[in-house]
Amino acid sequence: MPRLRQLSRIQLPPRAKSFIPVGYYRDPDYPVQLNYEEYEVFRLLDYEGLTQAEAALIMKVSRPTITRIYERARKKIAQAVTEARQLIIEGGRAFFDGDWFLCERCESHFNNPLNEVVENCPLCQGVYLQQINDRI
Amino acid sequence: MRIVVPVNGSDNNAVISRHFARSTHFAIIDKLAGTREIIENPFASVSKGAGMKLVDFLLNKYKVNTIVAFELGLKVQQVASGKKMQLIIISGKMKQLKHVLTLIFPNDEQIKK
Ligand SMILES: [Zn+2]
Repeated sequence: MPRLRQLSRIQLPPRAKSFIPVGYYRDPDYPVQLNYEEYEVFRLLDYEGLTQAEAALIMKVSRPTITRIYERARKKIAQAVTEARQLIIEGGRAFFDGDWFLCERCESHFNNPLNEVVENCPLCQGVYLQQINDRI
Repeated sequence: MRIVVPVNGSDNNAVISRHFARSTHFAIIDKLAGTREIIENPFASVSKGAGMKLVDFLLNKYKVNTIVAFELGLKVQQVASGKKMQLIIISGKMKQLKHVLTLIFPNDEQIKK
């Protein structure tokens, strides 16, 4: 029986849902799926330059879990880049650091640090909001 | 609600900065009062730890409670979250300060000039 993975805490929603290759040999029909915690570990280690121990504290998972997630993330990103496959960021076992919403009108993401009732976008007052936490 | 937007420039045509702590200026927008002012970034040339100093500065001197940006570094994000500031990550379609002002003040022609 596979071990149940821990939930990882994610700081910010990813800015892109997917990356699409360009060129003759691209293979758009077989996307590689990078899940939210793989994206976040890759971001924290390689973009923010944190150590695995620091990333583990932020994501509220163990150091060995970070190592495993990072290995998977790098393999998938390498595969997508090398094989010219689409990279999709979705799914996984993660929760966001607080509530996050997406306004469909102005396409902003915003959080809710005071845990208020959210009915409008704080920027454009739009009323069509998606709660991001629901999509994971 | 007092909002800060990192911008490179000192008028409404200023381009919104891709990097919060490295912008040349900040627009401080007061939604209730219907005002906006543009200040210089006093930490633009500080090489390390600018993000944390900046959040404190904006909070204490300008009473900002909301950050509007494309991207927030981890440090800025953590300090801002600790101070219960609201974070608004805008879409890449928004280019200039006037685009943000149009969303906040759809009916106020004066402030967009
Ligand atoms: Zn909106």
